[in-house]
Amino acid sequence: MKTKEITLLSVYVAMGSVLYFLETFLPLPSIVPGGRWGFSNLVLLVALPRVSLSSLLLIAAGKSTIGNILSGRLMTPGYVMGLGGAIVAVLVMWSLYRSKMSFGYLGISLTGALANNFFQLLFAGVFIMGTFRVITIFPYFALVGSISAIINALIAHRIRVKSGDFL
Amino acid sequence: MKLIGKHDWLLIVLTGFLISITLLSFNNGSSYNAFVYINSEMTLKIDLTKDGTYSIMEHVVVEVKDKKIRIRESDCPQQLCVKMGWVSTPGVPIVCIPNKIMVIIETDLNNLDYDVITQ
Repeated sequence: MKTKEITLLSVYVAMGSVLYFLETFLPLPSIVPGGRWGFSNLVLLVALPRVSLSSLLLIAAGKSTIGNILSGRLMTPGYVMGLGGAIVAVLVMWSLYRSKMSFGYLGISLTGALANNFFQLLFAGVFIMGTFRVITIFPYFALVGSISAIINALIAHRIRVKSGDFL
Repeated sequence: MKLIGKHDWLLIVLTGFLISITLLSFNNGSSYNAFVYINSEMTLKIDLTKDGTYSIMEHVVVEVKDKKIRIRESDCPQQLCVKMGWVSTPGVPIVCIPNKIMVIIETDLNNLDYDVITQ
């Protein structure tokens, strides 16, 4: 790994962790208990065109882990769910970006949020509750996730246009 | 990368379709029975037409009022199940992950708007 790449990854992980920690203070509709807005995924969108798949996975794991250490929730069920969801979302977003069709930030962000929500609930259902029934709450999670996904796409596009080589 | 790519409409339509289809299919019919699952086993069936309180586990109390249900007390650290408040929609679960409890109003298959259900 070159020094420049290490620096870039560190900045991404630092920004993601801070966003992850700060968004725990934002209020959420009560229909999505234990959910989160997912604004920290903004960093993944910004990084997507610039780094490799393994670096992207590192950023996702890093921001979840450090963000959860900061908010005191490391190794809780929520952490495991969030980590699993983030990794699946990275795989989905990366394959969409590398596919032959031309997708933009809006579509990739929405699909990533959808995959993230679906797999988090799936993890919760299969590994924690032992039943698939919790998946019935999925549409509400997906609706809230879509709002933040659109906001993320708009901001990530602005950052990509304005910052150039810097971020 | 562009903000909106040439093929983005595909993904947007897919997202909208998935959300609306799950929203419609999970919330059909009306029901007046709630079920309590502990460790994914059905342990208690609650009639929503009768008001009352039920003690499910030690320190976990469920309350029924006006055909709505909530977890009134729980000993879990984040109190997410209690903060969720009253639920009256079938298929929207109240989940308490630390206690492995799920309270859900089941969709009553006899009250659906379908003509025939194949099984």
